[in-house]
Amino acid sequence: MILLKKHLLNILLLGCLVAAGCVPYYQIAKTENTVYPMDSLAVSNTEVEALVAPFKAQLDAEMNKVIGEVKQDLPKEKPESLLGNFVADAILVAAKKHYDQPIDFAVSNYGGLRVPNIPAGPITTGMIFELMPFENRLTVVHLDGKTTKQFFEHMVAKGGWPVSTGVQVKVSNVDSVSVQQIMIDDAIFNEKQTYHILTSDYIANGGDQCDFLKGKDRDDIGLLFRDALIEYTKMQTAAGNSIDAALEGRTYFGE
Amino acid sequence: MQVSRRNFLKSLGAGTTLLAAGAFPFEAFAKDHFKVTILHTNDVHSRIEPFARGKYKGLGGAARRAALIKKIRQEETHVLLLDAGDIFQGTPYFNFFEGELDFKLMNAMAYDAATIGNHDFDAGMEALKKQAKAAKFPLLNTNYDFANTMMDGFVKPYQTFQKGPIKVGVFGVGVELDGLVPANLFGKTKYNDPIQAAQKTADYLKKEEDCQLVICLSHLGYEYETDKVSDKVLAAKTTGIDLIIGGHTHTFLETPTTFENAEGKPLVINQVGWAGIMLGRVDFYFRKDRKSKKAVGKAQKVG
Repeated sequence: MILLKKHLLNILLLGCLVAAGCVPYYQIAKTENTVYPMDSLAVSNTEVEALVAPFKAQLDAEMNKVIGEVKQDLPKEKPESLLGNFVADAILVAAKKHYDQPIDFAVSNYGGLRVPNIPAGPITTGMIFELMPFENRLTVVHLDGKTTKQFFEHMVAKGGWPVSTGVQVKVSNVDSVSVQQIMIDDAIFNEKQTYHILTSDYIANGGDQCDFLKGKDRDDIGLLFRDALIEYTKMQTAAGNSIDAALEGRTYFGE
Repeated sequence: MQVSRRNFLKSLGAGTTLLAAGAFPFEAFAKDHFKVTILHTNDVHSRIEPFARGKYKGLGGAARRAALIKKIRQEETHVLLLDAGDIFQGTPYFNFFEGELDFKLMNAMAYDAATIGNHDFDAGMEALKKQAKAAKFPLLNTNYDFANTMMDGFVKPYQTFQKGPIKVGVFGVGVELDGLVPANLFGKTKYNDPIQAAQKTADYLKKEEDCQLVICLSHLGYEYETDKVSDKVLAAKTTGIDLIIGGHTHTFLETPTTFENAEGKPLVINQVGWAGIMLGRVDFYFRKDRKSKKAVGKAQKVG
């Protein structure tokens, strides 16, 4: 194999620390770095392949199960996207089956969705795993209006995060980061109200720079984010529906 | 179209210099010299098979890594194979088997040690403990206190390895878990300052264990825009570490990463992206030096 010599480092000479009584001792004289790309030119170890095989067979059988049909390509984009809308709506619908208290809306962080697109056609369990590989669980955070506003400002500063239907966030088209207006289910956002927001425990724990959510009152639903997506997809299939989404101006730039 | 390896590396942002293997006149003084080869991975994230699609399509895979490691072990006498954490999470293999296959493969490749990344808590400590028990190599960390958790006794602060005349000390440091890992997953694991812990351990390895080579497996991350502790900060604020094998930030290092430590001595930081797309290698050549002496002084006991 060709070696890529990344660097030859300088010679290091360490001086004698104590003037007297020096004994022969090994010191670093030189270091050399190499990086090996694991590409198609690399050979495979058959013993390791054999070790993987039974795991792969078991996994493939699960992952290749078709659980629904996607009507159109669902790309992930900012500030709003078909993929983001599908995800936010799906977790909200599924969560309501497991939680009987009111939820005002759902939020997912953008970076938590791990595929750039779900293509039109059959959707498998494996595709949902790729979309949401993390073991994040759903939680309902109860936020005062001020913190809710801060949450929206954070989402907008991040370029727009997936929110569920009924939420309409108008963003300044001048600086593109300031929130101009928020509507929730046709009502103007009320800073004096408490909002019940469905999101992942990752976000509620302060992840993706949501430090302001740390320690807030919340109810953990115990449902995995990914399982909610699988449940919703199966629900739609059972009802004879395909998976679809529409752009509704959930996060949009003002005049 | 066949992409050359050089272009491949460039495309990963790793601006490299190709040098002939014989560029250094090593033969001339090979008699007094001694070589230890460090192989390393980080943030493999359960990437058992090569990527099936996307930016890294066709890259990675445990079977290729295993073959290369085997080949290098045949070529070199003194090899250490190390991992800097986040072994778990990223493919359904992890979701279904909770790390069982990842550790089976690491055992098969004969890893010598690994540290713990934030994602290694993702299946809970029960799952991590199960794999720590199955591992034929130690899990190393010196700044997490597992005393009040079920991981107590399954993580060592450091491990030493005798490679011919060279004694190598390896230890691990981990990133702050609060805000990064759901609290129920890491439980009562206590996070201590990684710089203090690293210094204490490096001192112990150099002064009490008489290690000529001290390696830190770090899951702190290469660098940040904020003053958050990183490998660069760790390098600048400590003494006694010769090599930091980094992780967490999925950094494909592009330039020779030699830094000065707190007393102006050089140390190397290496990180090879993530997902097993690359295998890193650092060869240390030791010279028998009559004018040098081992590090002296007393150090506090670790662990």
